[in-house]
Amino acid sequence: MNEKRAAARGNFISNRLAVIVIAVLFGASLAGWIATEIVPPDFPERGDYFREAWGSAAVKLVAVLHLYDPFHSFWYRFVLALFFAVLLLCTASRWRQLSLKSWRVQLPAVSGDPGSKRLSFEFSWRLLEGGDRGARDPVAHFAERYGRAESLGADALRGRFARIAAMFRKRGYRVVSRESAEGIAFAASTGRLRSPGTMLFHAGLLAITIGGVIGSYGGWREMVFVKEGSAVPFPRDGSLTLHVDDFDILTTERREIRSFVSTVSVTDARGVAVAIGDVEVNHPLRVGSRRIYQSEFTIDENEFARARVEYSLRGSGARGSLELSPAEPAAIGDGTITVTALRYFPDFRMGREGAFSASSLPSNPALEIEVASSGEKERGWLFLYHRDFGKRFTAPVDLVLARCEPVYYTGLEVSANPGAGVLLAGFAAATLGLLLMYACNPRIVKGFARPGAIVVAAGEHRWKASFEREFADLREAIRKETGNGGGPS
Amino acid sequence: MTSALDARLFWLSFWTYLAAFLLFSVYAAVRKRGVGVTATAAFLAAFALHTAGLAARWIVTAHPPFSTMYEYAVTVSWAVALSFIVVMARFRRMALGVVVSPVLLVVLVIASLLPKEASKQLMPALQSYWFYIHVTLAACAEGAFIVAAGAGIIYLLRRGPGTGERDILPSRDLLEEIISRSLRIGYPLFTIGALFAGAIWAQYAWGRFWSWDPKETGSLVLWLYYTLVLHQNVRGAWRGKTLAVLSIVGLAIALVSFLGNLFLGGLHSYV
Ligand code: HEM
Repeated sequence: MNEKRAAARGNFISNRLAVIVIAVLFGASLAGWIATEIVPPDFPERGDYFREAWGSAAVKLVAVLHLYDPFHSFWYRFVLALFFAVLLLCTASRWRQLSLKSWRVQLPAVSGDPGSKRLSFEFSWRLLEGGDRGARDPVAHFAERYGRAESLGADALRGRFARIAAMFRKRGYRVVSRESAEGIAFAASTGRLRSPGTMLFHAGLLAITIGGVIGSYGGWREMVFVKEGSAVPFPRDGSLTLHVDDFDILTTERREIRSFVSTVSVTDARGVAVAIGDVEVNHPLRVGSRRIYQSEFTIDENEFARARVEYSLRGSGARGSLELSPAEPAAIGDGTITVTALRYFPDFRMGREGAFSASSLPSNPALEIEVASSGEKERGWLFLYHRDFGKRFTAPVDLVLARCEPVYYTGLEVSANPGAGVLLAGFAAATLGLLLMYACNPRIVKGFARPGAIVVAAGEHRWKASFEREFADLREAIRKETGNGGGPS
Repeated sequence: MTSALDARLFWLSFWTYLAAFLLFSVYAAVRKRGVGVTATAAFLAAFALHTAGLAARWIVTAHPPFSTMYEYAVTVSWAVALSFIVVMARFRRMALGVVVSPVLLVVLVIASLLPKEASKQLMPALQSYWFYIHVTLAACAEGAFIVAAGAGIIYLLRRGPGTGERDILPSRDLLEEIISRSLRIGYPLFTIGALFAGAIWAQYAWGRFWSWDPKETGSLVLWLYYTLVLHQNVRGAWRGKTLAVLSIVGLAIALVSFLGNLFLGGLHSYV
């Protein structure tokens, strides 16, 4: 009895502790969430401005509590550590209990007080035979309502119990029983995978927390910008070299961006490739324990690889095309006209200060060229998608931009996350646990059949109202199987 | 490009839901079975139009309808309608429509205020199976949370425990069961879909599982909130009226975290 009480108390305390740490973490996360909405992340750099706007006390508070980055603050870390410790403690202390006992159903004694045995379903047990113990058990309302004796003749006991057991099995219950001189004790249960599910879920959360901590302390990330066709040392590994052979922006026919792709290879000190492949958004490239992500890209507006310009000479009507490289004059026809490409803007706009590129995306590619003819030089812009807007030069030549390939710098993020495996294992365990926990609706019916009476009591875990209906139904079925009008005795 | 067909279907479904809501209200007042059946039929018709609208949108944009806030809101409301139909089929309580249909209308009105441009092309980061898993499960989870809150509202509205037999509104016990079941459907979907699948997708797209951006933090807060509620509930605390109130508060947090990125920005700042 004492053992049971102590166990119940331990259980209660640890569950309450769990609720407290979850509540504290919830409060801290909520506070952090609100703080990030009020305090901008660049707060430390703009101290003077905020001192003026908010007053020095508020600024001090923000600084001390790290409210511009609350989730990396000491207090949030402290709360996380507390949560972790309690979760670890609870999961570890429950592991043995759940793993050993969750598969075994304890049978009630055919006589005596079955409530004195420790049961693996702590929450669910509803006491047998009503009585004053039933009244004292706060969850024993089923027994009070239904758990009364039902009569049965002694001779037919075994046969009738077999029918009852078959009825339970048909409804998806697993039945275990033990026969003794006094009668048959039995337990019919279903949804018992819930317990291992709960265990797995909590253990999974633990793994996720551990993985997260390993990742945030042991992981790193570094951004490198690499020009197409060039190479840089691999971040944090001097023995490797990172080459970018190509970078492409894939677009649809309607010029919507479909993807960004870098063709990458990594070589070791001897020049042997250790990883080759395309790095694309959502498709990182793995290099041992590190991964390379497509993160950004940029261009240098004074640089481009090649451009093709089509010309038609006014007067003679001669047509042709020129391949231009940056700053290298190209001659048309007999060489009296030369064309030099100067600047390339992928996203041409006009502003107060003149032309500029609004982004690195090729939304409105434009090429600035210089045309020299008979000692005169003129500059003007040609547009890939808006050819009619191109400059009409006084030199007797019409030019349109047919193609332009800028030189891209791909922004690759190289990172290592030693916690990723643990984290993913945690996700898997927690997912499986959740599915078990919520797919299983554990119900248990225990009872004993004695000559003269069948007593049943039942427990459920969650839905009182619906289990009450099921239990009433089960009682009816038992009554039918025993061929006995029965009724509470 | 806005597709005319899907927009027209959504508006039709909106007006039909509105009609269903009015009919449910009349049913709650006069308690004539015929009116309830008509209201239910209108609701089912609205749901069919809603489904057709989503299908049209999917075909026009050539990707599942989750890539903008507008599409997401329409998908969530679809999940709410579906959950409601399941609950109604299970518990046969037409009067639940009085509460669920206006909630649905509110979500649809919110959706209608959002930009509706259909783009055939998803942002590169959104082109991932994990993204689809993430958004589908999160939408279903929010649908379930909305149904829980709807049942919570009826719980608070109904006077006395009720037998649930002659009363038009379900009994408190039944309502509590609906709240509890909805939360226990929503919670695992949210955990697996919004948090786990979201983190895995973020790892593929941005190389990090978690960035503490406002939307992520919002989901964490929401998740911790429901964890707390379920944990207390499984201990035997926070039942009945408390659970009803908590389910409504949960929806309020979910709404802030959903609409949050309209003004909060961050990685999820797609509109
Ligand atoms: C810290 C110590 C913790 C203890 C001792 C503990 C214990 C328990 C117990 C005994 C149950 C009921 C299991 C059952 O009846 O089958 C449970 C359920 C649950 N726990 Fe915990 N838990 C702890 C922490 C957490 C944490 C940190 C989380 C999540 C952040 C969590 C989430 C849950 C959930 C979601 C359920 C299921 C509730 C339901 O049935 O709907 N627990 N926990």
